[in-house]
Amino acid sequence: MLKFMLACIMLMPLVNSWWAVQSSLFILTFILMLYCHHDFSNYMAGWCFNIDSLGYILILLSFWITALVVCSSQKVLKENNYPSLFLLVNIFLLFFLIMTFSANDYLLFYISFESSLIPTLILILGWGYQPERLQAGVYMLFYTLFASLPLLVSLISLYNMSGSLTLGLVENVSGAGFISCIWYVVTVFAFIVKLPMFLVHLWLPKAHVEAPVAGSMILAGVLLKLGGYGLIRVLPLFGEANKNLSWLWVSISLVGGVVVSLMCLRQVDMKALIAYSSVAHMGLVLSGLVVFGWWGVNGAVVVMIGHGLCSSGLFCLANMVYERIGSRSLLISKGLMNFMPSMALWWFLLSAGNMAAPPTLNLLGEISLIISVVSWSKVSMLSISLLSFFSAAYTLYMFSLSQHGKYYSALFSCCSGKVREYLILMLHWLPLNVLILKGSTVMFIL
Amino acid sequence: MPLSSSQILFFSTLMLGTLLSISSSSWFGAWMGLELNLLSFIPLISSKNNQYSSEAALKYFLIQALGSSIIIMSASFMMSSSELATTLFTVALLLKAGAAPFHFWFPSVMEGLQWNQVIILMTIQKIAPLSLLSYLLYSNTLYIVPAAIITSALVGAIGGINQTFLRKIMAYSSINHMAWMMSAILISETNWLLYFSFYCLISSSVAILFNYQDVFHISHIVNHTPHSSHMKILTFTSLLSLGGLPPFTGFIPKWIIIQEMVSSHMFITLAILLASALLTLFYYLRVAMTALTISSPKTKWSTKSTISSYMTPSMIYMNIFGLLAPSLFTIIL
Amino acid sequence: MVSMYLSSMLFLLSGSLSCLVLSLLCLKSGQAWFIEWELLSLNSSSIVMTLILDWMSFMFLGFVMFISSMVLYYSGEYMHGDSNMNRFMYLVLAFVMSMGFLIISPNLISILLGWDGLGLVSYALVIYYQNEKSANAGMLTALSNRVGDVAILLAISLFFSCGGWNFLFYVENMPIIGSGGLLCGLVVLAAMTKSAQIPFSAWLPAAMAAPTPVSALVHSSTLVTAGVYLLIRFSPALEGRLSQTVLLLLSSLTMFMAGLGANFEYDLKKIIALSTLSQLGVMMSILSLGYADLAFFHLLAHALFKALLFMCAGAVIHSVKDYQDIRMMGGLVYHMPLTGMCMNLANLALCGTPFLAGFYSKDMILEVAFMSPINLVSFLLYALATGLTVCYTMRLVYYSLSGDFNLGNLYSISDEGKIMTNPMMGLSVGAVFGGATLAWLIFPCPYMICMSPVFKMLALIVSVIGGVLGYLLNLNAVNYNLNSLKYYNSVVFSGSMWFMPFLSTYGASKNFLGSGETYQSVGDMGWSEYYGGQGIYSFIMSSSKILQVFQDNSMKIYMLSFLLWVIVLVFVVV
Repeated sequence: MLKFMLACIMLMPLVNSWWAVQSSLFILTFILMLYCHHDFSNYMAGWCFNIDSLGYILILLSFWITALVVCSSQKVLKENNYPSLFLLVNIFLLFFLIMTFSANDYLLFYISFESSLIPTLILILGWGYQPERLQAGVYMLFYTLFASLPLLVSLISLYNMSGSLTLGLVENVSGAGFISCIWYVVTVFAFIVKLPMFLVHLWLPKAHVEAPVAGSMILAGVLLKLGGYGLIRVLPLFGEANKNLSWLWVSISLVGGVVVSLMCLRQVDMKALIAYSSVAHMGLVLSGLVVFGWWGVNGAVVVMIGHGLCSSGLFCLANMVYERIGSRSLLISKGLMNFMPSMALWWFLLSAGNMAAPPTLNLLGEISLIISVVSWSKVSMLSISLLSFFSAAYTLYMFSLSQHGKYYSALFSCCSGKVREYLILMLHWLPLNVLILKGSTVMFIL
Repeated sequence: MPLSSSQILFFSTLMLGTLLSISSSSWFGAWMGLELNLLSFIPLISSKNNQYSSEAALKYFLIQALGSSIIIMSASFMMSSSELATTLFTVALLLKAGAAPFHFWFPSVMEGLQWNQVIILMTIQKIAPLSLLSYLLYSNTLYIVPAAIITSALVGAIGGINQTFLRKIMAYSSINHMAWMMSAILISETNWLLYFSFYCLISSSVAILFNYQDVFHISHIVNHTPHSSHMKILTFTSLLSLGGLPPFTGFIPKWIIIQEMVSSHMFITLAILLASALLTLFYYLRVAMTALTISSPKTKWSTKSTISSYMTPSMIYMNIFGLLAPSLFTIIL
Repeated sequence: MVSMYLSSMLFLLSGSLSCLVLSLLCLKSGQAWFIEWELLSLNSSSIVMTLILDWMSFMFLGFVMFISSMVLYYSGEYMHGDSNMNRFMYLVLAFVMSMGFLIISPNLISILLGWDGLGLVSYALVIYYQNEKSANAGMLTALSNRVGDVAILLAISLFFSCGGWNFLFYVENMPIIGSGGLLCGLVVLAAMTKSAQIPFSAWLPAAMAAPTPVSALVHSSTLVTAGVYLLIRFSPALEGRLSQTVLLLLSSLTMFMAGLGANFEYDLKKIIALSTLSQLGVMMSILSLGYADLAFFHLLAHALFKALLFMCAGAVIHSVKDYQDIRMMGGLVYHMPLTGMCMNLANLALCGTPFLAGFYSKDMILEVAFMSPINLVSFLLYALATGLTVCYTMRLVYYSLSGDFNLGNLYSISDEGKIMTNPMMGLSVGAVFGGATLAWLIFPCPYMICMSPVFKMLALIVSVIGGVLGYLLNLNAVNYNLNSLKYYNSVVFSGSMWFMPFLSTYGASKNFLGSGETYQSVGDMGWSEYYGGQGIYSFIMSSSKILQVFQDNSMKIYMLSFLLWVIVLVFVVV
């Protein structure tokens, strides 16, 4: 994996040339794609990095989203808003993400997991729009840190117990006594906040609303998935404690998902709506993960990939509207179909992806998750049905309010989509809908 | 600012005092070293002829003299009741180091200092009391030190939240770090040494940066930084490093202390320390905020601060690549 | 350059012909093809995309393509001048494709491709016109259909215990699944939403906000029959379950409710929509009695004449300045004789006039139903609904075709437009011969009907009574005082589909939107903030202020407090 990290480091001197970075990122993505074939579950192993199919697909997603982030942030270049610093921050973020997903050691994973916060913070604070971005950045940093410092303690305790923090060599925490349960909660809480679960999700809508398009895309696309990835890595250590306490997470996240979906119906800010919808989707992911069935875990991975592509694309669309109209409010940026008819198609396709319509990866993942959660308890059918229903409701609400109706009368000059924008959306949508043809490529198993 | 000859003299006696006190074999010698250290710091404080520095000097003198007198008094108890003596030593040393609950003088003295003297007060002046404290720990000291750890952690964290003066913020941050250092002392001397050296490095890098920019208040930073993106990166890197965020150097000593505390099952203290670390990070972040918002208002009168060419790489080295340090320390220690 | 409506018409027509030929081939040889594409396999159960090609799917596909080719050709004139005509065409084609996927996949997961596709594309078609009414109608349509999608998703999760989702393999022995009853209930629920059975009926008339060609294709003959088709495939599993009984009652009620509602409706398209709803009730009810083949027969026959009826309605609306109120029409038979003829043909087929398409299926359904051991309620509803069908048909004929033209003095009504009348002629052929042909093909050996003369004549008797009543009541309606005001409550109740549109829009959204706001203000901006960011922040700020008070004291107090500590410690230690 070191070769891709070195490639990232070598990109850093190139930041003065936007196009060089842009094209190198795409080329690196395509090179990474060539590595999808392997004959052993852990491969590309090095000093303390190796990847398995889960790490691989998430690294690929990070590369893909970063390349698209650079592509969709052309405004930074055009307005000369510190473009080279912007690229540098993005490359740093990518670097830390690669480290996180390929770390072979829990502590290295922790360090890189935390490190990815700082470039994100800089992205939000540096290139965001309103002054409220300061609060948003602080919320993001402190919610995440608050939960993840105990994780460090827990990891070090694991080290004291088993003498190693290498993935797969750590002893399991046996039993479900008080200590094990506390240990378990402390360990998973960091990831649960990162996902985020309902009740600790407050940072997410704020961060998304205030972040520039790059921040939103990478946040929705990859950073939320860090939580899911971490859970997949630590949950096997706490088999029994997890079994005893999973009801807590499942109930909070499923009921919370319904509540969040209802809140989505009241949002007027496009980005807030998409952000809240991520909370609802991630709730399902969380419940699939803690149920810890094979279908649930794999479904969670698939939804993570699908949601990464889909919500990143939606944020991209919201930004395209914002660049033209100067508002994210659904009351002002409406009737867009009248002057951006072709863009309306992309709105429709990505909205369909967001509500898990076929043939998107989201549907495949959601089916697996629903199978897993319903097999766990039939009562959850109630929340799942509401969750699934309202996901369609708020997505259609967003689509219909933004595309339909009269356009804002103060709008005086506007253009339809540009080729670059269509390309970005295409590159979001295509993997989302094509990868399902061979669903196992995006799964944990391969 | 070139040093005058008298300053060189006092600085060397200051160092001499510290060395004397940490290497003396009797409490009398230690007291002497502390007094020498105190007396030579006073002229260093009041080298700038203004009201603030003389006030600070006076306050510093009074408090330290009080501490020293308690030390020399309890040294005489040593023969009769060593338990009482060690207790009083501990209290006096905590006062001298500026740890809570005897920290009240610390922010107000800091307020009157120049950045150079702030560095001395935060680093060199801590050496003597803390190492003397570490010598004391063979004895049962009534949980004074653990209590001081917890209060310092909380006071350092909560006290700094509402501050807007950078030197006061540094003072509270120093109080908070003192909590970490004292818990390191409780575990082992090596840990303390490690934490202290990292702390010196990082806090002085922050102070040096503030000194270069000539800022004393949060709002000053806005005026000074717009032109130099180097300065911005340096500012937030060192501040976040001081807060102990993972990829930066400040994380290393925290990590080691956490690891040792977990090994010795000091979970409650650790929880308080971690919570306080978050709060300190909050006010560091507040200071760093102007640096983190890359595009900031540019005013005509914002001065362009110059920074020497070796400064940027060395500061960045100090604050980022310390992450590579563990392998180095395993060789040395 | 060949315009899009022509090329798609040719494409679909050729597809339709080949499908019909293949269907005949399959019917003759008894062959069926089964194609699978494995998406993933996990723990030995695999998610596959399954396609089944047997006579049933080929025939349905052939009919869908035939109707859609006619509709696309027709919309060449109907939508002429619309700036987004190509979008319209593409949407209709996407719709036909989804319908195709639905028809040929007997797998609960891969059927979602067609099932969800139908819901979404029909949503896009309903909101095709940019106005608030169609936006609302689209939302109602899409969300009602979403209920069905959710039901299918949940059914998938229950089906998991079978180890595969090809329901065709499992419908015969469904009882082996632990929660088979729940599963069947969910599938029936899904079918009921798509086919607009009673709690979900509101969307079908609302969806008439779509352009008329869309109504002809989507909301009469294809989309709404998707639920029926799913249940036809699923029917063996429903035998003797509670859901079957519930379905029988609800579908008979739907049949009656829609028939009654159509008698009070003045919007031309809505009358036809309600008649579709009534016919869907017929299909569903006979299905729930266990006669899936009859349901399929009626589905195909109904598709033919209902599409024709909608096309005629479209032609009428197109030429009367886009008015849809039937009171504004009248005497159309003089001005557009060809359209009038087609409309009459379709209407008569709908009423089950002998030897037209509707006769073979509807008469058989009624007789089979009367022969089966059904309860009195369902029987009465059947009889009443049959009469009501003729009743509202006569009313429609009375208002639109006969009498004088009521809209204005100046009008230019004609059926000169060949592009609109040609496809009508194509479908008229189907409406005349379709029933007989299908009866010969699907039922090689005839059903044995054995009943008393009264029952045999019952269908005819109620039809005649209904027709006479329909004509007479509307003749009497022309009066100085409005009789409907005397029975205001019951008229409103029957005329508004038993309040279903209100219940499924305001009734549903009021609580959910309200609670959304409550959660937002009390939860996210309230308690979550109080115990999260803002609460902790203000707590720390206030404690910091308290700490600051101690900090502001003089040096003397610090030193005194230190001495106090020292003295206390001295006493404690000594």
